[in-house]
Amino acid sequence: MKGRLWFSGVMALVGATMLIAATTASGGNAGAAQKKGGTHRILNTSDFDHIDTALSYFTHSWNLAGATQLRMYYYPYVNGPKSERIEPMAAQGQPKVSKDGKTFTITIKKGFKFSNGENVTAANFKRAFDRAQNAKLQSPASSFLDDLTSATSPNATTLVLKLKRVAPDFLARITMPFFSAVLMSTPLDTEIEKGPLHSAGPYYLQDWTKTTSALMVRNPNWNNAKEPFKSLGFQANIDRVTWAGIGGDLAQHQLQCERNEADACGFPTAQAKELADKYGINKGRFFVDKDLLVWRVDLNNEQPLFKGNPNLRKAVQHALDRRFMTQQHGFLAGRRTDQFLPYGMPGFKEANVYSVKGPNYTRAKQLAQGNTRTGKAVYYAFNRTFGPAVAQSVQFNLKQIGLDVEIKLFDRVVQNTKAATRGEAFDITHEGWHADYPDPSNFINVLLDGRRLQAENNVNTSYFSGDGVKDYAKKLDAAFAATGQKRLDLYAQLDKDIMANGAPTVPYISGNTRRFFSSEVGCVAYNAQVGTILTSICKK
Amino acid sequence: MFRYLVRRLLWAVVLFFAVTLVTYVIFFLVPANPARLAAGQSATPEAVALVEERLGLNDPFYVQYWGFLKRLIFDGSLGESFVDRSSVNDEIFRAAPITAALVFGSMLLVLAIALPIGILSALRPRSLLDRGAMTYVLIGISLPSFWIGLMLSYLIGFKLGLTPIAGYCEVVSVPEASSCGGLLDWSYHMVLPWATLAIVQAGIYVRFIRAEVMETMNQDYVRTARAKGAPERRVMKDHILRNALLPVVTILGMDIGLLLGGAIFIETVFGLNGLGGTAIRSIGQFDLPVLQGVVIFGAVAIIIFTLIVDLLYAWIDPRIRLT
Amino acid sequence: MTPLLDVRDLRTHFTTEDGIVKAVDGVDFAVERGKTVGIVGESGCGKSVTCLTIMGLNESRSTKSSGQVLFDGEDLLAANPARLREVRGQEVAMIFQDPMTSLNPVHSIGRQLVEAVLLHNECSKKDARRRAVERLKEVGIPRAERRIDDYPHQFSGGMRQRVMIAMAMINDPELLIADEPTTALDVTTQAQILYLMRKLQKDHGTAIVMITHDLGVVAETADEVVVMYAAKVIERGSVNAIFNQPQHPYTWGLLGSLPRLDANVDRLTQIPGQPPSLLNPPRGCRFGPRCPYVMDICKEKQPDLLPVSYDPDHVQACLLDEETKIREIEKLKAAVLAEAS
Repeated sequence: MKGRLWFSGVMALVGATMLIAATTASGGNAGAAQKKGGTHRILNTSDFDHIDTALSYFTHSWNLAGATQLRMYYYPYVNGPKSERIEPMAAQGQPKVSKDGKTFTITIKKGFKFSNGENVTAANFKRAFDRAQNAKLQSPASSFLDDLTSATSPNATTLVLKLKRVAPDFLARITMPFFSAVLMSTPLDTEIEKGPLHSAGPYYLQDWTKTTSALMVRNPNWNNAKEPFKSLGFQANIDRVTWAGIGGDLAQHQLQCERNEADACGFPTAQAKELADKYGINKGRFFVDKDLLVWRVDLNNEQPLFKGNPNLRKAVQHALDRRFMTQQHGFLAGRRTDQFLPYGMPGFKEANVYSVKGPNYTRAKQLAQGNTRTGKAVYYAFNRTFGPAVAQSVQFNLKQIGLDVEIKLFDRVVQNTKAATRGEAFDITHEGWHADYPDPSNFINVLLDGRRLQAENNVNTSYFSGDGVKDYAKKLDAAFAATGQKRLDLYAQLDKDIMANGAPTVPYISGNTRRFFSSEVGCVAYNAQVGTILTSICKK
Repeated sequence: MFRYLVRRLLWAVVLFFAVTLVTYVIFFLVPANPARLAAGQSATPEAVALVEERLGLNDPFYVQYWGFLKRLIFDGSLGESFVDRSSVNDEIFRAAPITAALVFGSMLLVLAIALPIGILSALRPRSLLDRGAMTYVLIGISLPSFWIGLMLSYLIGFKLGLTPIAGYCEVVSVPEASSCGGLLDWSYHMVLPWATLAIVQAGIYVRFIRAEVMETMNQDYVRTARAKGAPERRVMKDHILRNALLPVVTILGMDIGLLLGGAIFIETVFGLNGLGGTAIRSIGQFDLPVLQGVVIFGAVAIIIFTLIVDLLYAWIDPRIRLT
Repeated sequence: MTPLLDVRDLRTHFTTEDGIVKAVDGVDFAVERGKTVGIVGESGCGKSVTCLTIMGLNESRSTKSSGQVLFDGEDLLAANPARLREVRGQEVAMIFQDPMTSLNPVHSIGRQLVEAVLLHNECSKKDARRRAVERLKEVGIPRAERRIDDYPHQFSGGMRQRVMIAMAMINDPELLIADEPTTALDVTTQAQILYLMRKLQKDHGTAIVMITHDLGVVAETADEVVVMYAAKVIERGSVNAIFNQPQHPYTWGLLGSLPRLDANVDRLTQIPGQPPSLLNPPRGCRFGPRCPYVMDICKEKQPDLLPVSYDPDHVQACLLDEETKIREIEKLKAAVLAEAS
């Protein structure tokens, strides 16, 4: 017994040594070899809004969360359509849904550990839900949970979530980082503002100096050789990730990445073409991927000009110059669209409702004939980047069909606030929306359901309640209640229906994400929910 | 001398209050709802109202101002950021050393450049050196600082790779997340920012020093010193420079005070997260307390440095001291 | 006896952007030990430049000097800068017109006095300071021990000039050059200063060169008088000779324009016209254009300085005949001449 044990021990040691030798030996060929280790240096001009998972909402905050947090379910960290179907992360398989569809029972796999050594149990997830709903903490997640009645953990591996009504998008909602496992010691009503932020993912945030820097390092308790970690397949190549550059200049950041002074940088929009010419597209340093983002010119359906006036709204659809407006976003910023859902959204179907080429004044004038009413419109524009140019383009286009547009320029935050106020006297505004998770309801129901309108802070800034679309509310609810392929089909239909008949808003660009890396970076992959996949990125 | 000091101090205090009042009024009149901003994008109206209450935004102006003043004087606190409720004091004291490093470092460089060139130009007027110096002055004063900064960063940092392109490194207490730290890294990263600010400022000082030295050189007491048989070096040191550089102290002091408010362009170009960078960021985020904090800090810096300069001047120029 | 200072054919030319300015164009005079020589002339005639040249205080780069400045037999013009620095402030001292600007405003007068001592003497600061206090007392500064630490602006004009004199005399120079020392002072103070200088001269045996445009000052203090016009000496002699037997029309003009308290004069007599440009001085007599007695020959060539027949120490540069001169002298005497002391 002892002898054999001793022998196995030696073999294990030999094996481990060989394994270590293999992983640390860096091959001369950079091509196929993906090196383990190294530091990935990210430059961002703005800081994380929060690191506390109950509060963080910015894109790069979710980028961090994607690498550090353990969620029950997630959209897989791979490129392509595989990333569009929800898979379990900490959960054991798909949740058990009760017959009435209102109770979700989730089994949590055993073996996950926080970076401080504590085991992950269902209670850690319940705590996340409690924090999300805490009135004092004021988590944005609470607005996604208005149909949750209770979250309980009867034992260490079971989480039970009870809903008020059937919600086919519920699983999609809980993939958001708000619902990641948190330590039991995390206070319910106070924000965590300092590192280290212990988490149960492959990495954890060791240090955050606000407006200066952040450091993410390996979770010492994440072991890719064993289950339950192994089957998730997070390579966790990189040793550390640092964030810096806050308050800096985008052009400078670009130069730094070109010089390998940093690994992942932003760049001025105007530089996109030069970067594409210099480094090619998706060939190693400059990457373009479909993003779940759409910019629109909203028409205010509750103000006198466009209220109950579907033909004028359709006229606007024909009159606007989508080509010009899209160009204002820069090279490869996105694809022209005439549909509400973005190209990358699961279930998107090309509908060809309007032309995405230049304006069609003939058709527009036909539809506008007799419908221009006062002939005057007020446009709330924001005063930076592409705001003014798009506004002027709209103004020009609409002049051709007999509408005089008065442009009012505001700071972006001010413009957004005003447009979000119901009853504000504007006819046209300019907005964009990025999906929180890849489900079409996050676009259509959130942005176009008139029943959700409130006095302020609206996201349905076209104030659309279905004018021109038959049985609109029914269709909305039907699509929302459906599951699987049927759901996707119903939403695709609804997309076309809304645009062709209601035409409440003019989407014009379905956005791309453009990312630029140093020459030392390899294994680049992208997930629409969390951005660049930090758990697989590597240094060459 | 003592009475002078007391008088100046009182005046400084009055100025300080005036500045805080004007700053507060300006920010009070800004058309944005800070509560909305503080509450966040997806906050419910009730949440926004809660924040409004907490921030005291429903109170009349004088109540808010008095609250602000009380907190400033008795707690020494500049308030909390609207964005994340962190202490504005902390933010200012984090950012100030960076700006201070930039300003003081480049001022040393400025003096190192401007003193010899200014003096030599004055001693050899219309020589090649003098003409060259005056040409440089014209260029240095005319070119915008951000252009100089970008050019240096691009040519020397990017194209030649001789210095870092941008970024700041801490000297002491280097955070773990930094990819650089320590005295060497810090000065290496500061070379271009110092050079940029120095190039701009040196122009002003060269011209000024040259004028002062030229004027002093023609003074009668310089002739007297020579008539006493003093060697040229002594004449230069004790009589010419001693007198010519007095006004430089005034300008230097004021300049430093001014720049401590935040060399915004240079900080942005080189990614130095000092007071300038903080100011820009807080403007974009409508983080009024932070912005206010920076403005007040800048004003206080100017007041303090002007006071220091006044006192210094009184000490080194006996004509002023005794009036 | 060799004179203490012997200036021979001194010429100083300045190179300027407009050309070469011949500020001193042939000046000769001598100063005996313990005596006072007064140099008179109007502004711009070269009297100050002459003395600055003697001291070597002109700006070297644009100045060219020729001739000889023999101080105790040594040619100062040929001396190297180190030797000149030794001489200045120790063997030859100079005081200037405006005592406010001639003293460094940011140094105490004590410091400036001590500087003067220590530049030429190897003694301790304490000793130098003691000497400074002595000299301040000597020139009549009250409470000298305390006032030594005061600054120039804390003294009145007259006091400052006393300080200047104390500073110049502190190393007991053999020659003191005073460039219009009383011009900036009021008449009463002027008298005090002149009295002080005479006293110091008597006590220390210092020779004085007194530059002035004021003939009254000359009359009071000078033993010898040098009259300069347009960079040249046009008359030179003992004070008696100049005041009693002036030979040059310019000198007549100077004497005639002396204001008197005891005479009823409607207007001061001016010499009409302006001195000539020193860039391109006229070929002939430089006073010619303004001279009421100008003759054709005056325009031909510059008259030489020639001794008067009955007084070889008295030289003058006018070609007028003796009779005319005597007549004019009588006229002058009758009108405004003061008694020479």
